[in-house]
Amino acid sequence: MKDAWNFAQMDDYWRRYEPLTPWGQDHREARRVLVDEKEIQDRHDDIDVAAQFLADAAANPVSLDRLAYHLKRMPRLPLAEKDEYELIELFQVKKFLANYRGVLSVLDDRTRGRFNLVPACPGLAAELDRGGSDAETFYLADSYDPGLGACRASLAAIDAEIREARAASEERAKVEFGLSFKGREFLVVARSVFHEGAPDPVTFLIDPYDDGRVLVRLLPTGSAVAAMEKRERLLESEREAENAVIRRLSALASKAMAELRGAVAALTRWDIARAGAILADQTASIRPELDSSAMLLEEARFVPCADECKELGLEYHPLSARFDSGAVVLFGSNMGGKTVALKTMLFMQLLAQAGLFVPARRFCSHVYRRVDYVGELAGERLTGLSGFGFEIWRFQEAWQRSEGALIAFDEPARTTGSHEAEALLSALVEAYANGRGARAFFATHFRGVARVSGAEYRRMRGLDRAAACEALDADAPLPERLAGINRHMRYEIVDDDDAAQGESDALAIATMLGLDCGLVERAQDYFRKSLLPGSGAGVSTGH
Amino acid sequence: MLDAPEDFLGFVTFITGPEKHSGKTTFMNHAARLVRQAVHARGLRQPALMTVGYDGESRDYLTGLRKPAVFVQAGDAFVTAERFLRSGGASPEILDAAPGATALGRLCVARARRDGFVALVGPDGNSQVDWMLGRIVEGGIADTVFVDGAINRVTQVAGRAGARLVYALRIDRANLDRSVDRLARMAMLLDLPVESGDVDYTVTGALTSEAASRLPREARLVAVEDFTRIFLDRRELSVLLGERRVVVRHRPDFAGFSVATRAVDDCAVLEKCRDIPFMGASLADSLSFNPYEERAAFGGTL
Repeated sequence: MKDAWNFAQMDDYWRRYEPLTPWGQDHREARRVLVDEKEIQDRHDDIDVAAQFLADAAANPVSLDRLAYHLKRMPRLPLAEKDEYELIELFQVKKFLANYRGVLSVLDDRTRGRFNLVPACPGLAAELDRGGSDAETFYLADSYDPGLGACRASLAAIDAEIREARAASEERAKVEFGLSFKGREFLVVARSVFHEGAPDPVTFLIDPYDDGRVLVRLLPTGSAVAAMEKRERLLESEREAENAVIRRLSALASKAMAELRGAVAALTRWDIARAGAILADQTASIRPELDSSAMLLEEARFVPCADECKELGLEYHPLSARFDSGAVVLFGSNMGGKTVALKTMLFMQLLAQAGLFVPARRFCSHVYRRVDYVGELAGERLTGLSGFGFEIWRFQEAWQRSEGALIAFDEPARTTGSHEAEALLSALVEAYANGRGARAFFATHFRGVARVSGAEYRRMRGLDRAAACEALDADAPLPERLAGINRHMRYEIVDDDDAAQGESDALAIATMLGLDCGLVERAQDYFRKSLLPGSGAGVSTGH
Repeated sequence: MLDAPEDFLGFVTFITGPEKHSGKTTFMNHAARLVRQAVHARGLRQPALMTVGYDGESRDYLTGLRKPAVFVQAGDAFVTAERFLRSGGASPEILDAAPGATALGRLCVARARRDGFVALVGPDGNSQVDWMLGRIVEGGIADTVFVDGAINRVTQVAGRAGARLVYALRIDRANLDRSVDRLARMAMLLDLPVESGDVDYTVTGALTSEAASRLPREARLVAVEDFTRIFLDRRELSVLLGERRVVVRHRPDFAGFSVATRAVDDCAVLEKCRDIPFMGASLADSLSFNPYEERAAFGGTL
């Protein structure tokens, strides 16, 4: 379904979807399109509950900020049982539990119940909370083990002893030799400092640095060396005591893993529901109705296009339409909006099946087993095939997996001559109209496609030529002309009828884009001739 | 210059150098010590120390035991990997864990609860360096940060408010001319003006000597992302700057050069740098020497 996803510019919209936890972000990155109706309905129910909670809590923005704060701070913790966890992993468990409690404290009973957000691992949390200067930091505190506390007290005393000895040595160096170490490990000094003989080997260690200078270190006194050795032994004892604490905490954490996994799953579900509800609110989206055999769109907004129009100062027109058949042929001129209409339909369907609400006044459809797109791709993927060969290969691929699928064909058969294209397209429309539970849309220029039983034939309403001609300024720069076309294009889907015959939007647009008038007039002549009976244009067979 | 706490307090200082053993870590230890003394007196937060990559371990000079290279005082923050967290006796408290992992394992920001030594292990990629600095500075862990860094991470300096660059190198008698050459090249790179309008040509990747030879003849004003993308030696750079104007999109704030001299007089270095222009003055004005050198007020007798 990747092609459909890309064609519908889903990523342009997906950026607004912002789960905050690491697992919510994994879910977003996966870009899953669901095919299980119950799973989709559950997701939609979740969003309803989340939206209700957010609406109820709107009067208390601080609580919503706290909720976002805790979700953002969730660490990716280990979720497998192990004999021994690393210190960082224990920290992650503690941080997770602290923020999980924070989330629970903000939510109401209904929301907690819906998402199964229940208190998790209170015993483990209490134990981990003993280590750390605040709820989110962690160290192996003295209180974990009496031996650890005693060992650290001895270390503190030894450190004080070493510091005092060092300070005394530094003072002596300053007073007797003018060497101010100020905590520095070594100094580089002029040789002349020691000009009257060999330095005292008990006080300094002196190494040559260069011709004129020496590198001087303070040697610890005998008692300081003894203290340092004792310190090393104490550090070893501390490490052993810490290891014992880590093993004990690891055993507790390992036992709690199943509960932690449950908490992560519940939290992730809440996180994505919350993100879905916020997105729905930001984009005025509604819950799709997925029990309809027809596809109904009421004021469906293809947000990437609406955004682009806004940027360009153009008006965006939402799409409304209803489709009942398995095959829908959509005619339209260049720039008439048929590709955007296709994108809008896929966009709505993909959002609904991604478990999200849709930006529309109403959207009715059902769950398709696949959502596919067949049309121009950014890069050709089967080297060795011509454009036509590649297109045929994709027709066949789509047909083979079409059962229960929604497929959008954009300008199918564009790689061959118009007669063959209309023939091929007619066969495709006939095949999809007659079964497999699929729904296929065909956006095409080729008006000669056969009208077959069971298929629907629609067209984009197209250019309001009278209004466009009236407003046409032959000397206007191109961006203004484009805006003029946009202003007078009617992006609506209507039944295809004879009103579409006789005049060409494409040629009118060519005029508006500044094509030489003489050329356009001749093109109009040829176009009208082509519509005369017996002209040989088209393969229309009627039905 | 570079010998007062104010040179570092409240800044993220990236310490870079031309190669290994150019004195970066020594300089960081020196600067962190200055900052500690100042923050204690003023009631400010202690510094955070981090590196790009791995700083390795050294052998303790006195005891001969293996020990991590960087001293931390109780209250300092530092970045390391799980496997080094508890070595060195600093009794760390984990403040946060970075997302993802490096070749040496997961990274975390920790605070020393006791004086000790630590092995700094840092992120490899720019985005992780950004995350880590954001967590430390914006997260309120420390206002003063030292990054013992690789030159190719200087992009972070240019993109971050309050970030500065220190360039550390060692000069001895044998490499004096080569080192001055390096200083002069660095001065030229740091002096490149920031792009302020239309340019004739933008170099998207590295500006190597081959890329320079392929620049369009008519391109008089050439832009590069930042000076770390320029891989030309001093002579090639001089030739290029003689023919065209080169501008950078981002230029780091520069704090100064720290030079450790050995078997060469500081004055000899200053003399060689006197006529090299840098930031509207002489390069010699931006050099500071031997952070560990004690110019004793009087000599003692042993």
